[in-house]
Amino acid sequence: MAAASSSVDDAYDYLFKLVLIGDSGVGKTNLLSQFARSEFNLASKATIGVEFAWKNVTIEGDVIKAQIWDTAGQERYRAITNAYYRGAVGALLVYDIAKRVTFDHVEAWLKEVREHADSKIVVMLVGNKSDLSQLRQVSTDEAQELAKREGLAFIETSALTKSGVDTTFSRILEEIHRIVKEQELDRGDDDAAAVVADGEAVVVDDDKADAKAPSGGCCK
Amino acid sequence: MAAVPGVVRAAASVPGASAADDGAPPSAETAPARAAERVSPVGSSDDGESGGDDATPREDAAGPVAVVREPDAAAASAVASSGSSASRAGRAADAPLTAPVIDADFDDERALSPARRRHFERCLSAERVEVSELRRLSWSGVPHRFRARTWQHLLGYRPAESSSVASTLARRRAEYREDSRRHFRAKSGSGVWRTESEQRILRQVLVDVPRTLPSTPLIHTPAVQRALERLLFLWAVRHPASGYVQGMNDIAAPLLLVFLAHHAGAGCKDTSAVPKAALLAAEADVFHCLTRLLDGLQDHYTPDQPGIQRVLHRLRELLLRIDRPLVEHIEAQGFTLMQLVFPWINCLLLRELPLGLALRLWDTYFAEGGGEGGAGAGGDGFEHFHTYVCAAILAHFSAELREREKTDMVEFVQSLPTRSWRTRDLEATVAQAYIYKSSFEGAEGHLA
Repeated sequence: MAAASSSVDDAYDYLFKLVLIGDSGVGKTNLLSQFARSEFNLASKATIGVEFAWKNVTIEGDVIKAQIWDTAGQERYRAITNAYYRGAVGALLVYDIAKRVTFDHVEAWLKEVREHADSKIVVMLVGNKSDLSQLRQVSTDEAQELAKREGLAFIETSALTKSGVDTTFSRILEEIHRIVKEQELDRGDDDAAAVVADGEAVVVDDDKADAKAPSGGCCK
Repeated sequence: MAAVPGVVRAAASVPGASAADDGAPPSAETAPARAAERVSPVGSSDDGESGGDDATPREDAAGPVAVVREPDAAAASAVASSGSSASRAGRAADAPLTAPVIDADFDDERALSPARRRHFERCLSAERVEVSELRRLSWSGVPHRFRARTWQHLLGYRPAESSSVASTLARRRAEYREDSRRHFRAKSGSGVWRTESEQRILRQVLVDVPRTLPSTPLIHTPAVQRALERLLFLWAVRHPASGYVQGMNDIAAPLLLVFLAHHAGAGCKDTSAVPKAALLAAEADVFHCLTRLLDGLQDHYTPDQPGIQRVLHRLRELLLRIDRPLVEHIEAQGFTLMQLVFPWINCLLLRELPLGLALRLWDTYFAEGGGEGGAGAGGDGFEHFHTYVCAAILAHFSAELREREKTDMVEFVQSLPTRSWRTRDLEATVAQAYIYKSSFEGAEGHLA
């Protein structure tokens, strides 16, 4: 579906590419459709391969185009979905609070991210289906602890009620925005590295950013 | 969450429901079909066809399979959806549904032409079905009421000799039941021991089955869900090289719908009227036919999915000849064909077409299938001809694709207008695919 929320207006200051990952059936597709189109589809099909949606949000006066790639959860599709980590500046790692096994796989997903994505990627742990509180199998504390240990942001959401959904996306986008601004400051240069052409994501990683900035300006 | 699938539960019966609810011709079948387990309801030819079906032998299965009504006079092709019930496709698991099997009429005009129907009828009721003739006939579409038998013949599942149909199918269904019992003998709490990989398969199947054809209520009755779970699980356990891969549920669903309509006859438009015996037989038939279909696509679903990559490679080579600017445009936007059309290959266009048209396309794919005898006949049509069809669709939308950049192009493909296509659009695409095939087939050998 086309992103109904925004006009064709392509004016934005930053383009951030995010990926949605996690076991299948945890609600990635509905998280995205709630964020991008305020839609929840009880009868959605399993995602095959990768699906795409986008939305513009404004952070501190900057228009951010969030370009989000929603991946299939099953392992067999890893070879296809892995390619989408490239250039991603943020990842939402989703599990289902009512299905223990999806939380147990979080570590494995983190490993995937660290293998295939940029080392500076911002990862947020998302416990979805918080509306199923009576079926809860993963406590908030436990997830919080894991997030802390792994250095991830953490939030619980309900794609069904939309609770926490906008906060999730705005928090990760704000965090990325903050990092990008810092990088720009470090370089004393606000258009060389971070602001890139349409279709290319902002690269947070210093190595790649430096490669784009002709002057070098290494600060490692 | 859902318990381990156990024994078949009979579909919820709907006391108040009657066949007259949706204005379909009243049928004597609904009530007895619901009531009886060993059922052989009257084959009332309410569509005015002569009784050619009587020539088809009944499949008197011994043992667990029970007697299943073979003739499919008044099969679901007669059903015109009332529309109202479709909106009730809620997920309330135990809520009785009076929804039609078929949301739209699956027959196009050509399939309904009396001459064509007679031809099919003659072909299928012969002592020995000429599969090559049936194949030729099916290429341009199979009337829905003949679809189950035709697909089964073209897959080599249904014996050509009418005298051996009953015994062969009974044996194959009994085999399946046996196998199924072994894996799902969920007797009063004592679970079945499963290996870790089996548990993983089952978990994935249980996540996906409820997400199969969401707008088709019949698929979402509890008994049908359990059947789909069992057959997908069993298929996966028997095929460890690939196991269960998401999207196989999509591929099994059309087979299940078509076979259920066949077994249950007109009564099947009402989900309360799917007799247990019909469901058991359909489940086994789907298992065997899915096996044959996927045999031709084996490496589509093994790790790294080499079969799909092969198709995508061929598709690119083909498109370079047909529409080079399109390929160049797509790649200039930073995308590969894989990123655009992967689901088309993985789920055989089931998600891009209205269900009725997907069935129509599959008629051609089955007809294109392998050599005579047709075991594992899935490959040729579903891989080879499918590649040409995908090329034809991409070329059809070439202008729209080329005027879009980057992710706009991706979004266009994600919501492809094919979802509102009519029969004639698909027919034109299939015809175009045929032309491509005729033009490039020889040359294509050099590309492999």
